[in-house]
Amino acid sequence: MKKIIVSFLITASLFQFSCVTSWQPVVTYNTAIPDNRLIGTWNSEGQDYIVERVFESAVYKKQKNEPITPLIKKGIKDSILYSKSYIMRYTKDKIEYHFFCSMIKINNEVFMNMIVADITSINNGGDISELHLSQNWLDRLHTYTIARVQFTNTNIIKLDFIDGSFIYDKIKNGRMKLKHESDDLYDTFVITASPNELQQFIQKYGNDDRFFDKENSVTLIRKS
Amino acid sequence: MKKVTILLVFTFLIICLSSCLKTLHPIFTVKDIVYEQKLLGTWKAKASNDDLAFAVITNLSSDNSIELPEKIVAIKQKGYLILYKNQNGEIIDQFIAFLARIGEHLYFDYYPADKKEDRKLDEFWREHFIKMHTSFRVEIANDGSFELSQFDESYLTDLIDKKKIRISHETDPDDNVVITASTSALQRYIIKYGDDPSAYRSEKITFKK
Repeated sequence: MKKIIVSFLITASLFQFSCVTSWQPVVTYNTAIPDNRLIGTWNSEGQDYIVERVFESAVYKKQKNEPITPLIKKGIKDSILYSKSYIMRYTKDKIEYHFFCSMIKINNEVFMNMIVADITSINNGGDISELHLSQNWLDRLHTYTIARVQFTNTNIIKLDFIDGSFIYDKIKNGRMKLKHESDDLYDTFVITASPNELQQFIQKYGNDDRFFDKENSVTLIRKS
Repeated sequence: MKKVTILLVFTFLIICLSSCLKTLHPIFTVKDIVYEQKLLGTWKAKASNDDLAFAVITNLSSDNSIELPEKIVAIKQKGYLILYKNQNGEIIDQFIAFLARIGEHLYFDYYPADKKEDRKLDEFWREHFIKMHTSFRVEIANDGSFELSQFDESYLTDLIDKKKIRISHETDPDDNVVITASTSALQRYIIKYGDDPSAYRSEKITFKK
């Protein structure tokens, strides 16, 4: 199975889709745009999602209390990016998942980058040791997903994730050019293009509906 | 922005410290694979920092619960499943591993294998990670015990910084580096620097029955 994953999950999962991920962000501190319409509690297919500003998030506050932490020791560029970014979190099976989300406008469309920010247990003050996860998660490469964001109105947001299968096929067949790495033996595929290259890529293909898979769309309905 | 690092709080054990060399591609091709029956079994794995774990090494084809990429399924008889257990017998880590002869020496290529607890995590969260390869030089002693020396990432990145080596890598806007060299380029690196002790992390892991 490629890194473009066809999810066979039939449980109510937020994002059941085939995604393609990139190692570098498409959104940078100087291209990020804030949009506070994102803030609030949302629901999709019975699952709640909470979006808040980074500086008001539990992830940020948690790291602030620790002496040397990745978020706090950032420079001014990161502060700018964080001030325009959000944390989206949701809980499934007593585990809370936190994503760092930032947005960019390309071709008058808004695109969102998502990357893992944290994982916490809702028991034991967030300590995940009880989950007995492998240590090798620390050795894995963190990657970004990209979605088009459509604010239908203040109460409905549609996220259209880029169709991983479409991109993968086009790139592998030489019909799209985008810097990537793939390993056939282990079925690994990751986009390694720079932020600028990713922006140009989206500029070129972002208006093509085939770029987005209908099955990869998530509609969020505001709860509060 | 440095990668927004997840705050996984683990009791950190003997393998895969942050300074170990991680690569996107494996260090071996199918033709390089060597299979040593004598590596199978239960081992006491001890690092020089006195951490002790138990390693259970089995043939990769003996466990059908592990998710394997399609092409790995075809060669699983030549591979190993390596489980690291703590003193309570709990699995703390597991890897798909292949032993390969590269140049004069034997090397292990480790690739993370999800435990059942890992597979319970939300699919969307899991898809934001790419598994990386780590590699070790393997020295098998006459008494059957063996020792692993892990490549040191900082040694390679120093060579890159000083422009002493040309090897494919990517640097993001925050200077995070990922080694994207192909398998053949990684093998050239191993052959050139594999005999240099400073190319490895100082801690060795010994495996004794």
